Amino acid sequence: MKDILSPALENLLNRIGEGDDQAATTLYRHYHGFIYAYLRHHMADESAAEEVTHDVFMAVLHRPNAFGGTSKFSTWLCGIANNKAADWGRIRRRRIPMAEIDDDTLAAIADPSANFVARLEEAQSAATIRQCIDALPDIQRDAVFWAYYEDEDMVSIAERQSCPVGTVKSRLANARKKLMDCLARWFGGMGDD
Amino acid sequence: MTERNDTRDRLRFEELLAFHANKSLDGTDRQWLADYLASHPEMTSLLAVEERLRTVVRTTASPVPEAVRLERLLTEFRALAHRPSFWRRIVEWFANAHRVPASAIVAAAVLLVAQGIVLFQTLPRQMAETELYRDAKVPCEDGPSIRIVFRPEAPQAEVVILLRKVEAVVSDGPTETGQWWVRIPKGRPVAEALGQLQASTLVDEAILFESHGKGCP
Repeated sequence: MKDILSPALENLLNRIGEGDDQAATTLYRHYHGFIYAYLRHHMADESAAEEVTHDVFMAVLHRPNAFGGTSKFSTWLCGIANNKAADWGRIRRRRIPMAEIDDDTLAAIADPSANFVARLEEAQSAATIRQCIDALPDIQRDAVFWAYYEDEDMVSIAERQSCPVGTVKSRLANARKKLMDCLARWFGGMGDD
Repeated sequence: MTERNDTRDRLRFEELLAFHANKSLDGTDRQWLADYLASHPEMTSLLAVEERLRTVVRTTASPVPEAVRLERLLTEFRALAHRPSFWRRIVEWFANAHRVPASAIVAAAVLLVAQGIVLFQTLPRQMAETELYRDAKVPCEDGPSIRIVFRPEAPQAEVVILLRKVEAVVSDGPTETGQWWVRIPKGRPVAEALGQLQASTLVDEAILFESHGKGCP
């Protein structure tokens, strides 16, 4: 996420404080995609992510000068998003997680066949992949977001998740296996070339 | 041995794959992974899966059109900008008070006055009662006192009976440390009272202070 640089950001926030629609629109357009995607992975719920993203931006527009400049603006936004998502979770029922796959099952997942890869390329598979990502454990979904959406390296993700680099690597490898297992079930088996 | 190495290499490959796809691997890992793929061409299918997953994640977007989202946001933003401040709303409330029916204002005023009268009449009496106790002091009578510490589990009723039995008059306590200061009335042998207290199973400690008038300056 490329943040808006400091003088321009301050100018935008000041103008928002004065009720400037154009400044609000500029800020929204710049950060909406990132915050929505972050919340989409954080909450694993499309409509919840939509609503909470709106709440995050309303919070910023309500008090634009609350940003102290001590962190990156996108980091600050993620902090607001975490709080809003937690509020949302407290008010509404939690998502029911899918059953965990044990290590033995993970190890037994077969390599993808050519047919499997071909089916993944189909347009409608994106929705299926999205559903399988939603079914991942929170911490793996979080790692997937930072690695795939933000292209962060393993050290940065380890810092974000406060864990060793090795844990991040195995977390993402396990996430991939679970995704493949989930997709295989949707496609009705991987070995049917 | 070779099989174990294969397993280890396969594990390393799977762990590096996500970072190969996002091009954040350092030189050593990148070269190792390229070599591994060259010697294991069947693994390119896994790379294809990885790329597809990554594409789906990177194309995460709201299904609601931007125009609709922005319209909603800006509508609420404008409402926020035009909402009067807290003080402004108070001022406006008073400014619009003339629109409130006269009967409601009269009723509110009567209620306020009635409350004021009740407070005015009861408050001085309560304060006077408080004053009675504010300056109250234990009368100072110099003479021998006994400091008693009762056992923590001693029942209050039995403590009272014991104090009455020795005819003790409490001059202070129980203090924060659980001490009671008592005097024995003139004409009653202090040593006898002290002996009874010290012999009681309710008492941890009973000490005589010959000329300590507790409560005297």
